[in-house]
Amino acid sequence: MYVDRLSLTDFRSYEQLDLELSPGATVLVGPNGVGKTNLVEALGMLSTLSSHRVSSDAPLVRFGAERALVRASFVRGAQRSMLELEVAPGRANRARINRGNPVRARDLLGIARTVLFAPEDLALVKGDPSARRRFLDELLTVLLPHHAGTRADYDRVLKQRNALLKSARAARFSRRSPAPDPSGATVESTLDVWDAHLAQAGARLLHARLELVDRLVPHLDAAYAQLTDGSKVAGAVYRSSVEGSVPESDGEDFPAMDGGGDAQDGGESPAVVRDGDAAPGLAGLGVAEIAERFLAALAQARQRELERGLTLVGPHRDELELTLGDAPAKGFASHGETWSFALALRLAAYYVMIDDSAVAGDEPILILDDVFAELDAARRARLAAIVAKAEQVLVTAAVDEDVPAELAGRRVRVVPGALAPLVPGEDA
Amino acid sequence: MYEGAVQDLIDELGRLPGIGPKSAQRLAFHILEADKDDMMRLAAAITGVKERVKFCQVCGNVSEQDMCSICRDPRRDASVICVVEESKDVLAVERTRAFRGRYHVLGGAINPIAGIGPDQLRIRELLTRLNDDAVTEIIIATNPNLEGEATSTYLARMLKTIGVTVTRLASGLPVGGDLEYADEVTLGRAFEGRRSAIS
Repeated sequence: MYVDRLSLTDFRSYEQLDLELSPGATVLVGPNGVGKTNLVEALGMLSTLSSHRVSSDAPLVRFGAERALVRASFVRGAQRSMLELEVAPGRANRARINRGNPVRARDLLGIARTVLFAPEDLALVKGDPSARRRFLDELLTVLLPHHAGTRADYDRVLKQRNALLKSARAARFSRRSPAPDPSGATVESTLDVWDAHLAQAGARLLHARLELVDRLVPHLDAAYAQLTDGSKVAGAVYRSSVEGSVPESDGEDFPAMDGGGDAQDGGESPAVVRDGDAAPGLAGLGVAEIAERFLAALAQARQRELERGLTLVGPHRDELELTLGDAPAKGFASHGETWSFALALRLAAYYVMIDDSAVAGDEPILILDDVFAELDAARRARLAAIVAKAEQVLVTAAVDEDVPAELAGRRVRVVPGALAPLVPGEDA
Repeated sequence: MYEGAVQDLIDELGRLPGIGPKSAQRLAFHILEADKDDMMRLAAAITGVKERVKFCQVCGNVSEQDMCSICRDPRRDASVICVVEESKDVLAVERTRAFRGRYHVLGGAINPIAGIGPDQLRIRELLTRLNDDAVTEIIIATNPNLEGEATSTYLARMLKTIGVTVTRLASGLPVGGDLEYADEVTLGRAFEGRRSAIS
């Protein structure tokens, strides 16, 4: 698919912008701070409903304006879809498809498919596990939009369960008497209820993630080999805390998930629930079986959870472990390798989406935001050769020279302010 | 800020659910300008509600006597108890005229974020009612949301050992609706709860 028209109103630095785009490569060139990334971010919003840079909506609206409007028309084969998203901080975002009546923003998911490469992707390899979980969940919702609900369900149960654990812990500390407290029994039996609901919701999410990782890994290896000379093998293994195989990393934070900043204590012994052998025990299991394992893991962790006042097992504590050669990618990979790995992850997501496309012309739009500046000449050329095959690729760069000749597409010069006058490509 | 009584009224009205400062002000001035007798009746109604209405000692429904009209009614089937979250749910079930048993109002649902656990609900009272052998079935009619489902699971687990039939209201498609408008979760539940069309 490709986008042939993008129009923004009060989105970040743009008061009003209308941009015509065409299939093939388009390079947006302009100095720092003129708003190249804004264009890219707007397209990303339409496909994932979230920004790749910030987690709240407020910074997306032009300073002083009340709401922002992103509108774009996508062409898939012979079909044209016009998507419209209204971003209003503090309120539910609204969407319209083909100028119809407003629908839930969630209904946009899965229509516009984009894969965005951005400098922030470094965090996929170097950052906290939360970045990798987010990568998986985002890809999941693009492929299977109904999983947006799966994730939301899980988060809701998790919040309630954490609240219960926290109040149970508070009650335990305030009650000095060593005698067994009378409400202890009710806390335990209420916890059982939430355990059941958490395991149900969590198992669905885990099952979906495991399937996704199975589809992702072969492409990841291939993509990394394409980008580099192929001397090292890139791999990824999903480590679930339900299996008890997540090594406790220090300083990990759990953004917006547990609501408690008190997760810091060093003496945490890694939960050892390993199923006898080293094989990742959850792979190939059905949802019901995963739910059973989940319940067992919760039962094992019960005491520690009551002490910490926090849910310690579940998909919100899981890790997608990335390996390069024999070593973990995080920490062991060099800066250049880290970059290549991050790009390979995005490329793998791109390949999975191509596999998934049901009709011709369904392949995602590639967006490369300021990526080439970070790569050496050989990797630039390799990346350019791969992405040049896509139906549409949008590239932003601060200087012309950063963009390899392989991407000799139309060049658009971006200037500060409202409009981006089009300059016919020099070498097109 | 207004003076004395007017501001007091605005403040009091503003504490009601769903009433913001602007609405409170509008209501206050409406009361100020309205017919005195009408407003006295309103004041009397509020006083009356607070003085006369209490909660039924048996089921927890609102009532002007120690026992509500449903619990006093000898024609109601004492062997079936329908468990609901709030008094207004009793009214909703009553409107169906399909249920002839009695009720039990929990006064909410398990919601740890709001600090509501089983101890804050009228669950102990429910167990007391089960002590006499008349009751054979409990129908759990809590809301089909996360908190209601959790409460339902909790009750089901607790009542399992007592030896009464415990049922849960079905969830699925609304009558008179279109399949295409049903959301995925509801439709999924409807599939799970499908039943034989050949009776």
